[in-house]
Amino acid sequence: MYLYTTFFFFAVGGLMALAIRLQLEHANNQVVSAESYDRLFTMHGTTMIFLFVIPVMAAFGNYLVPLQIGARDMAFPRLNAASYWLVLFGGIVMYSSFLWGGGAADAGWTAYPPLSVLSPGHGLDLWIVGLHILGLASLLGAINFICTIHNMRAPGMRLSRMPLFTWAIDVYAVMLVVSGPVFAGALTLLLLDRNYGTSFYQPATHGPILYQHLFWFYSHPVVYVMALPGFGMISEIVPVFSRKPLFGYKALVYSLVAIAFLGFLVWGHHMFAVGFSTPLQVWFMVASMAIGVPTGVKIFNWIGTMWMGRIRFEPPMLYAVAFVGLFMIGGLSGIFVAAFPIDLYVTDSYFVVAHFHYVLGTVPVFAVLGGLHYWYPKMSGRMLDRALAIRAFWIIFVGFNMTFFPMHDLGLSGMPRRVSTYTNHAWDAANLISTIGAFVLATGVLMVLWNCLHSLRVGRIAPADPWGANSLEWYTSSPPPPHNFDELPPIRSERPLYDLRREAAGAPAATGD
Amino acid sequence: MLDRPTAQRNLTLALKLAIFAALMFAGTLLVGVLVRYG
Repeated sequence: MYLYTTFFFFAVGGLMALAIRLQLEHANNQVVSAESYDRLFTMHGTTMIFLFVIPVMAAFGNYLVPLQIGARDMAFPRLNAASYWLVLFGGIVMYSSFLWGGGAADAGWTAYPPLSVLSPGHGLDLWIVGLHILGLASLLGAINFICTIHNMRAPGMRLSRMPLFTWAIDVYAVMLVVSGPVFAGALTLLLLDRNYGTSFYQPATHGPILYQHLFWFYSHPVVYVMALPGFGMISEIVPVFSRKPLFGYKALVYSLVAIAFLGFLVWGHHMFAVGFSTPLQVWFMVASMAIGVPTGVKIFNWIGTMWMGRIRFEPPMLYAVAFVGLFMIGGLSGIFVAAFPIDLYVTDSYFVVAHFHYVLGTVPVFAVLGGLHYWYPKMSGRMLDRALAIRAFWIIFVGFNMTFFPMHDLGLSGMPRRVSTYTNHAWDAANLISTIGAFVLATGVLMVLWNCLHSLRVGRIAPADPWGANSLEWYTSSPPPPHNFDELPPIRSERPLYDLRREAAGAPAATGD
Repeated sequence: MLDRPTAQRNLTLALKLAIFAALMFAGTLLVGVLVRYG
């Protein structure tokens, strides 16, 4: 249900993106009004972040974490159900704002004051209440994950043997518990300013800067809340289809933790334009670039895993390889925007839009779809249509790059973000390519969704372990029984299924470390 | 059903995390009050 709901919101957010791209297809276009455009890009960003990427990771986590650690279920199954219903309810509350007078929220997903304080109607109030509900869902889910992972691992499943995806969900959950309440607090103050006459965010006392600090103290870690489970998915897929052990398991775990820790220290790089003192600018710049080190370690380890491997380019691996390459493009443009002298020139331009779609767009499109193709047989008991999946992948790959790569050029040539139209015809060609790309991308995503729904009925029956994988979830039947496992194999390393295959082939058993 | 010690460990950890989250929320409100009115 979690997956269906989040993919429904993904489709809604995607439709909004198509409307945005149609509007920007050429100069002086009037597909939607300026007011509607503001609502579209606000709700597109909010939907993709809060109703798709964050909860879809929880959806995968709910399903996979108990399986990967050999548990029967999550620690608090009812709390789990509550998290799901809160996600749905939060989404309904947020979208109900379209039906009220004044329309939906229109202050961007960042909702900076004073614009958000002054935004007319109740759209922004419903947006805030919706986010509070979604935040509560995330918090309950995060507490559930931490309890499950730390208290319910099967005998032998030490922390040092946990699959990388479960590690990533653990770090994701800790980050949500630390940062989520700060966002809730910032939104509460905003709600008070809008409705009860307080003035926390009034410009005269630098209130908007206070909001930005609180907002980005949450929202920068949230970048990693979204990205780290994606990294976990890639770390599961790459070794299986490279037919090799993961290169540098411990380095990958340490880099996950290092990224999470550093992620809490760099929020100011979103605020260079407010005019910090130079030492503070330098701190945020250096700390932001320091995140490149553990991120680089990850990319090095994935490439090291593939190096000299017998790679099988099954659909999940295609998505994983594409993710590594495209995420590196986002990482490289990240170095530019982390340097404050450059950021001051490109801030609020399409260069930033290109950057964050190569970083955060690759997670839902390539990591999540890669994960979906990888675990679909386990979840559904059916195999996807391989040929259709590969065709869809290439269409998505081409569409994604057509959509977002030209935005680098648009940004560098001065096109601002969050404007409903423009008058400069020099930007027409790149915008046209981007708009066509968005429709190509949408076609590919529709093919994936069709493949998933169609294969539920006609797909080949999936065996327990169709990929020759290593982690525990592939030991049980596809789909697993309600109690997950009839029996558990001995867990003596981070690859218990590999150990079993080795023993079956007559090799000595793994020793335990 | 979970065995009693595991259920108890889960509850204790969940409670600690919930209290931590509540303190972070209250701390944020306090920062807002102090910055604006302090």
